[in-house]
Amino acid sequence: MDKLSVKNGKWLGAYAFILGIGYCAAAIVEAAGKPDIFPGGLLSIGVLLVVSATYLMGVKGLISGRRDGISFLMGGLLLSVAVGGLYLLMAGADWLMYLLGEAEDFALLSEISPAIILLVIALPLVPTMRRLTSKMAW
Amino acid sequence: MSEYAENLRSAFAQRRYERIASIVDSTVIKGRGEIFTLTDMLDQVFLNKHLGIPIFLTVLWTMFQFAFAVSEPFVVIIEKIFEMLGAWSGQAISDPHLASFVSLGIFGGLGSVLVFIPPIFGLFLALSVLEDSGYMARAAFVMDRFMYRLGLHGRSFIPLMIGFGCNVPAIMATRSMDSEKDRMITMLINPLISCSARLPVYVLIAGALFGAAYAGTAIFAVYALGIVLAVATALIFRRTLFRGEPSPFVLELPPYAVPDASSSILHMWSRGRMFLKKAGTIIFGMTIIVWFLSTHPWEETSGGQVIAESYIAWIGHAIEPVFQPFGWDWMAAVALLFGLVAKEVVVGTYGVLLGAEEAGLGEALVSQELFTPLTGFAFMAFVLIYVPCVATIGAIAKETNSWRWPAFALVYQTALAFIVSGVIIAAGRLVGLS
Repeated sequence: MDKLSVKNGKWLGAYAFILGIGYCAAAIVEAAGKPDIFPGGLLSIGVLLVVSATYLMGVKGLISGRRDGISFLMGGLLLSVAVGGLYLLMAGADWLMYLLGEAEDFALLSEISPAIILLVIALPLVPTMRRLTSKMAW
Repeated sequence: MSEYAENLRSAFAQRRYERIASIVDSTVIKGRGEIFTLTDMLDQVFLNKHLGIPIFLTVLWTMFQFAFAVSEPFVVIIEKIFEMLGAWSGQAISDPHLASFVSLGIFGGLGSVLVFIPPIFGLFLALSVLEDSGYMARAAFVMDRFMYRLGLHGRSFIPLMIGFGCNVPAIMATRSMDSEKDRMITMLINPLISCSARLPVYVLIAGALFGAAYAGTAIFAVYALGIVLAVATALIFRRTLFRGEPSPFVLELPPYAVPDASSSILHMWSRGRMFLKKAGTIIFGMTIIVWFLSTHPWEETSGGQVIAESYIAWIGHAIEPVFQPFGWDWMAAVALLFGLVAKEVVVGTYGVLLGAEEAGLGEALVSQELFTPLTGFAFMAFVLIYVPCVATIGAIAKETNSWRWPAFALVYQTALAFIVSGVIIAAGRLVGLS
């Protein structure tokens, strides 16, 4: 593992903080957009909050230059890929439904959910994480 | 003799672990929380005291959304194929009896079950990826802490997880548990874990009543209900029928790995083919029986057009009063009755009874106002809980070497199904739902 310098740690900590707040904001936006109390909305909001908490729990460690910060950043990144990837697949499924004539229209913009946007924002971390963990065994 | 050998093996294992522990204590110098591998790093997050269970629930939710929402277009493709086959058989076969048999009995009944191949295979693919990545063992570990607090055994979690696929191998998997009491509890609560056979019912009802956006969540809620009930029931059994502390839980956590696509697909196939085999044998046979009962007497039903005059309607009306307080009609009663053989048959029965093509089965449920979201959810809960399928009852009998415990499972689960569904309906009506 590359040495986690304080400078790198602060930069990564700031990134994790932005992502954590981003997911938290996305959860609030989603909650505001769903005035009904149907559990489905609550669960998807809960998922965004879990990803948010994972990033935020790593901030302190990253700023202090500790490796446990990287662990939470990596965990958050994996969750971002899983959740964002799921929303991307769901958008693909909606497009297929449109092609099959089961949906009246397909608007790409409405398919881009906050989870996809946050995944795109998180992706630049991948090369950094790879570099930091390149010499580590599973 | 075999019991003596078993005790001897356990004693050897116990001594071996004690020896290992003493060697490790005297030779290994533990680091001060130093992280050495990627597995250690990931475990720091996924086994975290505060985040472990929320992350596990997130993974579970993602898995169900993937299985249901992403597979939707593939369901539509299969529906369209069966629509074409049904239309073709209706036109090409001149004999009305045979045409009814082929279009309703075969394409109507069996087809309405086969459309659930995409979500079932999707769920199995997700489970395989989780297993191959090494996360499933962590899920067991994370849940163990929670389960132990409730007086349950951590090793119960693996058979319970297998139960999401099929309860039969899950009940067999309890053989790995050394404590007879822990094993009995795990076997008896296993049918409350929602196996893949029940998924087609959830997909049909949830898809029709909750729409694509919320169907995955409704299904997740039923799965969660199963887990909660299993845990609560186990707790009751622990404090009544099988008193005592659970035995200690030892689990080796494998290192994480990037799942290999081919092995994940192979695992998915080896699980999914069980569903295909069942669809081609038991479910096919049952749909033929349901078709016969719903189209005969042939003259009275005008060649299967007036189901109200059929044998199946007589049976349904006879047992309908039992389910009427839940807002379910005679069709639901018949579907539940035939579902005793295999839970997928519930969907096949509806397919034949409503005479709807697969694409229209959900729409028919809505248009005929057979369920509201509330009564539909209660129906899903009932299907989750009531009488285990014939194969599961057989497995419990075989593993306990007695018919007393399967009979007990049958009675307590049926009673629990009525109670839980009743509570759902009552609570829903209390908050103004119909």
